[in-house]
This record gives sequence, structure tokens and C-alpha cells, in this order.
Amino acid sequence: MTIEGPPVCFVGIGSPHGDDVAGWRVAERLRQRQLAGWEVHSAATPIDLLDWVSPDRPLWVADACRGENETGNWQVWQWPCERLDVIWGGGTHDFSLPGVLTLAHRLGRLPIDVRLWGIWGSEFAAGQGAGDHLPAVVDQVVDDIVQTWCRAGEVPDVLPKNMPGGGHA
Amino acid sequence: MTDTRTVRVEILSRVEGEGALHIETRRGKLERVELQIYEPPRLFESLLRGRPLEETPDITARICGICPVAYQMTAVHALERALGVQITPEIRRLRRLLYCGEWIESHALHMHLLHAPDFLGYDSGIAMAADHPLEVNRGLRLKKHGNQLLEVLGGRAIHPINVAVGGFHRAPRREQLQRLIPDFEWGLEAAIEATRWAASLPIPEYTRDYDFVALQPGDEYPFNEGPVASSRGGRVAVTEYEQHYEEVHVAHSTALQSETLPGRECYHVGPLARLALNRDRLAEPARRLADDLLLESPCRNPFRSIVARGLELVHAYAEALEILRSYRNCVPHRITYTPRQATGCAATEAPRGLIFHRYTINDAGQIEFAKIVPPTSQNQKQIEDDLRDWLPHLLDRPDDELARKAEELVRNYDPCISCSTHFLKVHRHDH
Repeated sequence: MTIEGPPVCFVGIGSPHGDDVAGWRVAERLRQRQLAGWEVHSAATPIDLLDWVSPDRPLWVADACRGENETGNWQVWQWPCERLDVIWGGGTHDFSLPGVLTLAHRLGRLPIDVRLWGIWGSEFAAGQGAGDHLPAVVDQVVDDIVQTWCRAGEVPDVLPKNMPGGGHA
Repeated sequence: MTDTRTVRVEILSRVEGEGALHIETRRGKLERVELQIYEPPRLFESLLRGRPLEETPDITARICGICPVAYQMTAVHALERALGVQITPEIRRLRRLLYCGEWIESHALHMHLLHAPDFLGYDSGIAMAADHPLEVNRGLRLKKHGNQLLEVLGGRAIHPINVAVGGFHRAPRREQLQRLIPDFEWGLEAAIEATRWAASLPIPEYTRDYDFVALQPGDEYPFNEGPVASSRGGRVAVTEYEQHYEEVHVAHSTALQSETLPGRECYHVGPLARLALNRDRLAEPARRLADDLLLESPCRNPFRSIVARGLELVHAYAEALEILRSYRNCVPHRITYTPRQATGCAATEAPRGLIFHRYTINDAGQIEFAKIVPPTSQNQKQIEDDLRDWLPHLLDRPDDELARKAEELVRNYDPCISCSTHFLKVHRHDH
């Protein structure tokens, strides 16, 4: 018997530029799965997630992160986590993803369950297409998100399954 | 003691994109100020060449995640002028509604989370939230309204896809817009409250004799058309814009800087400029509020741009409500056209100021030439000029305070560096 967790507010953050589209692709795939009770949103900037975040439902986020040597891998973290500032330190108007989560927390709007799927990429320039690796990685991330939801109640994997430092090849 | 001093702000904070500020003094006098935009140029004009004109709204929307509407709408207007397309009054009103959404989203965010912390002594909106949660929550709620409007009209809040040359791919249903009315009625009152709050902040007293440049249409606040007016006098048709304003390369910036012709002077675009040239065109609640606040006319204090944004926020809510309440339908929602060899240009008002586009298309309907002049590159020279005027009064301050004051001045302009490179770090040198 599959036990599903509570409905999730999911936000895929991205842009049309190169591998930065990863968060949007994950959101598109999750919409197609029509998961019961889920809100699935696409955002161009992290601060847009404040439009939807609520303390009474888990907030799960997918976003691309830059790393030449880790392109094609992905990783999952649970907020708060100091490393997030290193990975997602920049953002529009300095509203980085960790910054926006801190803001939501200070405003009492952040749920307890906040998870971040980071998808490593290397090409983020305007006019570039996403890397060939992306469809397969998006599939893996979507599967992991759904499996995590089905395992609701379990302690999430905050650390890597396959790679030291966190990630999946 | 050395007689030279250098201060660099390596990464300007609370602005969109990446740039730096370099300040150099010699024997206690300001010698050099450079707003250094090092974000790589993104060359959207090149990307457009050879593409079907129908793709232009979508491609230009990708220049900026904050103001995609201004980019795609300016492109659409320019292409329609090239093609001789005459849109209906209903399409025009829906386009103004789309602008209202983008102004609400952008102005609410800048006022509450980017600009206000400067006056209240916080390093960031995040730090301010702990002590001012009501104001921050208000700003976020207003911002959300803007996104909701963009989603209904643009098909989605991120990089709207519903805008087309000739109109819209799909017109909104009346009930979709009517559902927004209660939120926008609350938003109008909240915007008035936010503007009164902004006007009450401890804003520095500092004025300059700006050459304000903005669109100045006949009988409405400027969004999508109108001759280009200057506070120094004169109005020119948009088709003559390039005879009066020119972009030039400077060594320290990957963004072009604009200057006037023939004088090669800086000029100021944005909310203060629009207000200076169009105060009597504000919607009645905004005009009455400006009078209540005893806002000088024109207001020449760049720090009071937060009040100007507030008044424009009120205007955007008032105009949006009027359109939301009166909308019935939009038939037809798109005017057809036949591609032809032609050139067209347009200027509209992005939240940060005037934006100009010019395109040449061929008989096959492909883009042969594109030119995009964003607001931040027009303000870049003015920002440096402001810094050269203001910083000499602050040179006795320690480096970190000088850097912070310089950044605050820059933030008056709500610069969008990513747009300007289609932009900050402070570097200070003392010799």
C-alpha cells in the first residue's frame, strides 16, 4: 500500500537560459503527474515563492545550481542548511533562495518541511539550450520527489545517496 | 598618510544583476567614479536577427525576469508600427492593464523590500522584516496582485506568452478579471497607505537639476505611447528619439550608456521623470494623494523616488480597477497583418523608465535588424553624475559608510543590470 504524504506546495524556479530551465522542467513533469492536492508553480525568481508558501503545507523547491564538475548530478537538502548559501548565494535583487526562505521564516510563513532539490548545470547564458543531460536528470528528480512524497513520515535523505557531499549521478 | 584612497563596492546589493562601483580620490578630492557593469552583454539583438517576427515578444520577454512585459510590449508596438497594424480600443485597454500588473509587481517589491531598508537603517529587506513585518507582508501581498494580473493576461506570471503582434493570442474571460476586483480594491487602499508610509520615512534632503525624460501622452499617464518629452523643454515624436538620444560605449561597462544629442549630457528616466512630466495625468486618487503629501512639483530629490513609485503604484491600482470593472470582452482579440519590408520603432514606460525598440523586418516576416535601449542604460550616466555631485560631501566618512551611501544613491534608480547588458561592486582608490 502506498502511503502518500500531505499535499505539497511545489515551486520550480528557473529561466529560459540553458540549464537554468531545470526547475521549470521539473514543475512541468509534476503537473503532468496530477498529484492529489498538490500546488505546482513555476517561478522566475525565488521571491515569487512567497506568493504561495504557507506554514500548513510542505514547501518543496527545485532549482538549478551552477557547478562545472557536477553537471548532470542532482542533490537534495532540507532547510535550514548552511551550505545552501554557498550554492544559491545569488539571486535577483539579492533575494537568493536561502534569503527568501529566511524571509518567509521571519514572517512566520514557512512550514517545517522545506526541501530543496538542486540540479547541477554549467550553461546559463541567454540563447543557449539546455544540456543533453537534463531530461534524464529531470526524470530522476521527479521520481525522487514523488517517492519522497510516498514515503512521507520517513526522515528525508538530507545527505547524498550516491556521492560524497550529496548528490546523484 | 597617503594622499590617495580607493573604495570599491565589489557587488552592488539590492539591485537586479551584477555590477560594481569604483570611487577614487586624490588629496581628499573625488577624482573618479565609475558605475562598472561587468555582467556580460547578452546580445539579444543578435539573437533576434533572422527569427520570425512572431517570436519577438517571447524572445524579448526573456531579457528580464522582472519586467518582461515592458520588453515584449515595446517590441509588439514597434512591429505593429512597421506593419501598419491598427489595434482596437479594447486590445489597447488590456495592454494598459498588463502594464498595471508589471508596475504593481515591480514598484511594490522595490518600495517595501529594496528601498525602504535604506531609510530605516537595515542591511536588507530580510533584516527589516523582523521589526516591520506588517509593512513587508503588505509589500509582498501587493506584489502578488501584480503577478496575478500578469498570469491572467499574460497566460502565466513568468515570461508572459499571451502577448502577440496584433493583440493577444487569447482574450481573458470577463469573470477571470472580475475575480481580481476585491483584491485590487484592498490593494488600492494598501497602496495609498504604503505611499503615506514611504513619505514619512527619514529621506535625505538632496536635490539636483535633472533633465527628466519620459513619454507624455495627451490625456493619460504614460504606459505605452506618446511623444518623448524633456523637462528642459521640447517634445519629439518617438520616430525622432534616436536623433536626440544616443547610446555610447564606455570602457568600464559592458552596458551602453545613453546621452543627449547634441550636448552629450546625461538625463533621468523613471518614476520621478514620469511624475515631473505627467503629474496632472495621474488617476484621481494618486493625484489627490500627491497634493495631500505636499510633494513638490517637480520633485528633484532622487531619494524621494520611493514616494514617486508609491504614487505610481496607486495610479496602477486605480487604472487597473477601472479596466477590471468595465471589461466586457475583447473581440477581435488579435488583428491580422501581412508581413512586409518595413521599419518601425516604439517607446513605452517600463517600471524603471523609458524603453525604446526599433526593428526592421523583411517581406518574409523575419527580423533583419533590432535595437533595444533599456531604461537602466539611459540612467547609467545620470547615476555617475549624481555620485560625482553627492560623494564629495561624504568623503570624511569611513570607507564602509561611504560605500553604503553610494549604494543607497544608486538604488534610487532601481537599476536593472541584467537588462542594461542585455549591470554593481564599489571600488574606491585614493592617490
